Amino acid sequence: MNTLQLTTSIKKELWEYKKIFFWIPLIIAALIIVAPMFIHLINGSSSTAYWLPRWQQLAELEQIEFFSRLVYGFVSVLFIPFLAVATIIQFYYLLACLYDERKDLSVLFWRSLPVSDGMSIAVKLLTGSVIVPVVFMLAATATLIVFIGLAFILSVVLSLGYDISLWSLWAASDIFTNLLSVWINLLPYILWLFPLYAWLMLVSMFASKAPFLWATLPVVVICLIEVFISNYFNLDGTFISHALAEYFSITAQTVNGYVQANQASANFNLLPFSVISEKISLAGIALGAAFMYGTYWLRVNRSHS
Amino acid sequence: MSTLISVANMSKSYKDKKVVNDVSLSISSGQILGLVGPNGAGKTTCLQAILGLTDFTGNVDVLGFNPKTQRETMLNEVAYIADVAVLPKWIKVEQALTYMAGVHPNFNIDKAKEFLAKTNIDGKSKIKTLSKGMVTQVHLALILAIDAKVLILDEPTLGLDILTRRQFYTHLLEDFYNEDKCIIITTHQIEEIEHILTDVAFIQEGKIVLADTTENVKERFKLVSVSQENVEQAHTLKPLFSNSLMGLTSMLFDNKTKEELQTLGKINSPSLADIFVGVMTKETC
Repeated sequence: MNTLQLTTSIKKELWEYKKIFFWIPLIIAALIIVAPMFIHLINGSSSTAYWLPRWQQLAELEQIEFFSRLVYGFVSVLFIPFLAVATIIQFYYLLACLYDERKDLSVLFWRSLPVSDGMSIAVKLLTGSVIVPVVFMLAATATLIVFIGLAFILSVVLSLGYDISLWSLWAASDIFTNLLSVWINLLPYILWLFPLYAWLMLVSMFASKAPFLWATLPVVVICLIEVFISNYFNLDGTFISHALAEYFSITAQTVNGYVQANQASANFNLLPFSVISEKISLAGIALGAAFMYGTYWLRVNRSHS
Repeated sequence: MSTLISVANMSKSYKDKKVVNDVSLSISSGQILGLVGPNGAGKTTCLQAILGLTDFTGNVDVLGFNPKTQRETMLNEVAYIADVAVLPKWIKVEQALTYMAGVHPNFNIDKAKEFLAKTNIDGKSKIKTLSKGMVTQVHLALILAIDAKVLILDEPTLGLDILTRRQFYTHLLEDFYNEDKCIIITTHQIEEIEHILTDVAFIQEGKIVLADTTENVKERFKLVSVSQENVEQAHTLKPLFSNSLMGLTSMLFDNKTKEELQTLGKINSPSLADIFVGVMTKETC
């Protein structure tokens, strides 16, 4: 594999979508950092008298091991808005990446250069499925580092000025373990949604217009037809609709099951990893691979002029 | 002269329609071939097949590569301009240079920068902010900086003004062409490139109806200004094309000797455009 071609092709994708890949995570990070301060200023809860008893209470926390879970909760909550927006951006990117270059005919320019279609498609899949969430998670991590910095300054001030020591909490916080626990979810998350990513890329390659409708309508129509047939012939249930719902939904029941099973476990932080990993199926991966092959085939054999 | 491109019995169909029909061509180093045909004749499909950008039947060999299976390797030595409008609108000029340098092993970024330095194009400009003429210059800078043996141009000056068109072909000859390379051009403005073509191929409904050196073609066809009294006699020689204007009839003849025609009127050397029109409309004459 030509590494320079690969890195240059990735750079090209980042240049094209610079606004959404760079500015959106930055805006979310800024909002998350500034918004709490703004809220406390408005509510009048920024005074020392308001906060000191609370810090004192925290410093005297007896169940110190509980603090690690609290930090994990904080890290998870911090990552949620980044990941939620990243998912929307991923869907947008994967649906647009091949459609846009066919629409403005720039595909003819890209294909006139010695870059294989396989590499072009692989780079777009890599960008949409991995780079986008990684960029947003890096932004979330940077935001967390800002909060850690602020917490450190607070600890120093409380320790020197008010004789409140939060240092024991620092030791119990397991920040890096907790951060790693969130990052590790990325791998099963990508594998879980791989069939969806591949479907969006296939639609992006196939659709002559309205890729969003092409991505959603056929699925809706197939499900409706299945429901109609199922009702008409009094069949037991619907296979496709059920399989789709089963694959993409994470029910409270499933999560509760894992929570109860792992309540006493030290690996409580790996709960999302386990839940998402459970969702990955060989059939899903195979379907995604078939969609990707379809995308590649269309790119190679379709007339783009 | 070594053969750089050889096409044998190439065909391509869309559903039931044959858009390229049994095309055979051979292009050697030093040749500049004009592939000329009306809209929908199959010119672009021909070029795309040669570049391995579309599937086809038959045999195509470009610099010893099979475009179907070795497209990426082949494109290291083949440059292609599909249409000036195909440069991505969002890209900055300097990004385009960096990208080319990263993906193309035979791209000389200094040569491209040197070319652009002679223009008033800012490297930080996005393609969408440039005029059509400027976009052409950027595209030319990218292509001319590739050390390619074969250059394929598909309607490269479509929609450009005459100054930019002339500038385009001047750069092409000065900065790209030499005896070791070959160029294939499709264009509608055949009269503008006639003087640079060494060879010409006319394509109609997917078939090559005429392919020869420009010199031979011009010798083979003769344009006669037939005086009114000789029109009837001239028609017996079956002209390819006849056009009456202000009492004077121009007729294009194929494979007739000067002796056969000189009694009809003044014999002129036809332009490639005249020959093209004659060949394309011969059935209706």
